[in-house]
Amino acid sequence: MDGSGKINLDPPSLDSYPSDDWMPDMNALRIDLNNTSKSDLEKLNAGDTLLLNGTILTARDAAHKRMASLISEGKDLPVSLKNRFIYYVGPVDPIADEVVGPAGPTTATRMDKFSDLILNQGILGMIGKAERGPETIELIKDNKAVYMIAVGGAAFLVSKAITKAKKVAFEDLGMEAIYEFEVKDMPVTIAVDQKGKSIHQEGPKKWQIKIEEK
Amino acid sequence: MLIKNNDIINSIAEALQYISIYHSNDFIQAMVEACNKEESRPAKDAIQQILTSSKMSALGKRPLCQDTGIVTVFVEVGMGIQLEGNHTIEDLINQGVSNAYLDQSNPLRASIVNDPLALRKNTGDNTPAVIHTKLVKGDKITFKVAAKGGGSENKAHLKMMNPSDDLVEYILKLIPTLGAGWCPPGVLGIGVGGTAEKAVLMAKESLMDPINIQELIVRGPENRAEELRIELYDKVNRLGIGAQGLGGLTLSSMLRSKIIQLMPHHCRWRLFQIVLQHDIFIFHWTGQEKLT
Repeated sequence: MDGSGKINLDPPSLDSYPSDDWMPDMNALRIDLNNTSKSDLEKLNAGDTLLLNGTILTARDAAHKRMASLISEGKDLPVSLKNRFIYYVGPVDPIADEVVGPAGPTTATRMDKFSDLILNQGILGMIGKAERGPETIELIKDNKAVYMIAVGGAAFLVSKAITKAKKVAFEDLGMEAIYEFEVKDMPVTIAVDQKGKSIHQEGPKKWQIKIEEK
Repeated sequence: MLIKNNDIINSIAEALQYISIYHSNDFIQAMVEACNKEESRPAKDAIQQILTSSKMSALGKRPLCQDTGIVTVFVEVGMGIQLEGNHTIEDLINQGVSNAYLDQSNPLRASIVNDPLALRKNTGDNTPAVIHTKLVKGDKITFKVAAKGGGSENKAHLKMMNPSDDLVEYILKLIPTLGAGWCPPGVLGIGVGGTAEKAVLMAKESLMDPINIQELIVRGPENRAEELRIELYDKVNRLGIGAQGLGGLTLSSMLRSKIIQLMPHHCRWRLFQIVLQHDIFIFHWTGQEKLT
């Protein structure tokens, strides 16, 4: 700036984007989250792509920390986690007719230290981004749960799969509160299956070999 | 030359709104290139989702990522300029940050907490920004503005190296240990030399440079830093980590890293390395330049 006024910014051209937009794979398995059990999840393998339908709860660092203190004090949680799925997310506030603002996954690895406590509450699965540590993978296997990933960086696209949102607990935590989301065809990939197979371990290993053979 | 307070406040706010919505063209081009090159199906699918989401953000004027970052600003203040009244540069920038994050047409996520060791109370408007100021010759003031996401920032490393240590070997060992929380494919920023804090700062600032790795490969390296960039680009992508850590060919398809070097102390060279989220929001302007 040289004293001649504020900056002026023109939106960039959209010509660089590919002409074909991403669409959900119509062959992907649809999961009804409200009517699913541990045994229904048995057939899922690390790497499978799914479209989630039904309700999920959200929680990230602060909500996990608060749930952990309530559990350690022997108190009830404000919302039961039994047979629920938890999405690690801190969304942007909605505007106009939006249900929720951009709402992509946050790093699940940070929630590893709460895995034991939360899995003990009877959850069926977790949704986040990035790898889980070896102890959490073992716990997922022992509890017959699953860990799924949404794409980190596709926040606006993911948010369009959320059709309803309401805060159900810890409202004072703002974006870190526990929400209940209703989702329609939310795209995820199984990252840790009930057998304890992890795509973040298997995927890079497989591709490193492929690259070496090239 | 008098710079008006409101021009600084409004420019910072406008830049932050802009980078929350739009990816830069060089980033989009690098992602499209990565998408075309990628053979791993899950990795390619992830890149396609990111590109489509990004286009939706540009059209809908809403943030690219729910993590709208911690504002980081590099300021170069020309010694010939004068600021109005009695406000510090920090005050003016933070007012711009507050205006941008509370903008009702596109509110951004406030992610900064006060009293981090105890109360951790959200400041509500994403202030304060992290600001680095330098005095330079001339009659203008230049801002480089980034909104840095936590996923990638959490992967930052500082390494005190010995003169005989191998930089490439260290980085290739480190990257697989970082996991996928930085949302690869992404950008590496590397700073070498100086003191610990100087190396960190150089690495961060290197991320503000254009992504020009493909041009560099075509032109050929002209110095040791450029040789290292090409070597790292090739070897890092051969780790097989792929988009989102799912396995694949394109981990850091763009490698923005200009490696910045500074004279180190003779018995030690310092390295700092940041892995940046794919959607680092970078914006840079000087004078009347228009960003298109």
